[in-house]
Amino acid sequence: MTSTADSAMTSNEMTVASHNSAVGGAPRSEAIFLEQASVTYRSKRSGELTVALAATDVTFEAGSFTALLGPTGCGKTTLLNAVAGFVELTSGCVRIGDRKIIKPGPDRAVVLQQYALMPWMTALANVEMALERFQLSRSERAARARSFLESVGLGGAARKYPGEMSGGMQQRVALARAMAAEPSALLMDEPFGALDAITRIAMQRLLMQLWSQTTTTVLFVTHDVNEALDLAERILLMSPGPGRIVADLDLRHSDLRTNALEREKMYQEILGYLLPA
Amino acid sequence: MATLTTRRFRPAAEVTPASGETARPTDSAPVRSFRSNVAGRVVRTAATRMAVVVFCLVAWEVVARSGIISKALFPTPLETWQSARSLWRTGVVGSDLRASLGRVAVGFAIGATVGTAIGFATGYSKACSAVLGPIITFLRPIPAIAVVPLSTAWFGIGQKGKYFIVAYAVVLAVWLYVHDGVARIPPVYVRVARGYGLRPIKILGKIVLPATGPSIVSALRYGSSVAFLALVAAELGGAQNGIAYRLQVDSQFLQTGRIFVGLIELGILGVAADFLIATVGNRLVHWSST
Repeated sequence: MTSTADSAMTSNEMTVASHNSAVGGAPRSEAIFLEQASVTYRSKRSGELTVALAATDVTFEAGSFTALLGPTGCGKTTLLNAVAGFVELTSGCVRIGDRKIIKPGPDRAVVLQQYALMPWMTALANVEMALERFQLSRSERAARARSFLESVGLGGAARKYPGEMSGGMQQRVALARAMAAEPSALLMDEPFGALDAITRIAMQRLLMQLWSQTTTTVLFVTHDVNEALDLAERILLMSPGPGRIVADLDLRHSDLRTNALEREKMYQEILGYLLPA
Repeated sequence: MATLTTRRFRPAAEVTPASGETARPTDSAPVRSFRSNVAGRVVRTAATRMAVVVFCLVAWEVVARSGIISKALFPTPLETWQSARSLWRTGVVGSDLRASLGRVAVGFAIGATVGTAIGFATGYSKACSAVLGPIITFLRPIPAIAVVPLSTAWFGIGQKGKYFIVAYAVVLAVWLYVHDGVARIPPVYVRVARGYGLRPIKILGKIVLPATGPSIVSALRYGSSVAFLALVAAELGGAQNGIAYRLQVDSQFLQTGRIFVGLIELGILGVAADFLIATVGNRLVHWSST
């Protein structure tokens, strides 16, 4: 097998575990609470009201990995954006740890399908941006950003601009940037949706590896049942009209990764929720 | 088709060379053909441009000789060239160029700076937009030439008035593009930067400014062409030298050869300014060239 940049990250020489917090001590992780949180949009043209997320109560435990799974319009992205602080709640509240969420903050790193890298910054500068708030010395910041790039297998691409990188490489830079911010929560909105199937598997493995070595709480939005089954400890099934959670599946004590029959049963059960007869 | 299929499915061992290295197409051949393609394209583009220039000169010659327009009023390319040489020898071209370029350069520098600054202010801050937007929108339809009488009343016919007129036109042109560029920055950039805890001043310098870069280049290119338009208005409104001043004098003596020289000078200067800004600008905003 040739050692292209995209496959290099699956090698065993990863050094993610070596990251200590930039502010000293281990990065903390925190639980996220939604309490009767709802989001209603008013259409600018018709003035029509749409309930994107009906009043929802849910808790995401510190350090857990939860997939939000459902079709378009089920409110999964709205829920994520509410936690990110991108949308205003119509009622209720969202908290992380003991803080009420009112706006975006560095305690919650967001990874989007469109990468959202700054095209005028090199890979290194993009990661350094996430370290801005730690007020490190210039050389310390660069070294730290470089080590995060190395942890996603991109040590050699530090000087490349996003336009010079493949989609998979760009998403790895985005992931390195998110991890560099030492977030309490990692919020991912269909992060691998734009990648080809092979690169997506590689990215999923990388994500699992990074997550196992940190204590970050992960919310992962997807419409891919298999992706949710491969990655998550817990799956929240969501349904549109109005957007809401219809099922809460705990997979922690299941053996889906080794038991194909069990997995198939779970797959069918999920489809049963998502495709009501 | 059949041979291609068999080849594709041959076992890997057969295509792997003895050295054990993975089979690869030889490097030199495709690279060379790629380079010669690029070189060929450059040559073809240059040739096309030359052909256009030659065609225009020939067409000009034909029209001038045909007498459709009185020969006294429509000089041939050769007569124009002779006018240019005599103007050059007497030093008129040099002093006019210096005068006009100086006015354009100073007026453009002031206008571009002010226009960019206001564009950032109104694009970045809703309050600034609310205050300054209506004023600029009101001024925009008032052309530079309409400002000449006011400029003369305020500044007389000295240099200051010329700078004022050019700067006036450039401010409005540059402002529009920069304002639009700032307002159209994909919100995700600012959102992400804010999410990572960057302070507003850093967001302005590290996100908004570079994200607006491509718009600023467009603004300056457009602004430079407007600067020459305004220059002509300014010089026609009263000057002792300069390209447009010379055009007016030559017109009174029906020296069409010299008029053509002046028009060509204006065209060349405009093209050169645009080329300069585009070349430097696109290098600075290299990431947006795709």
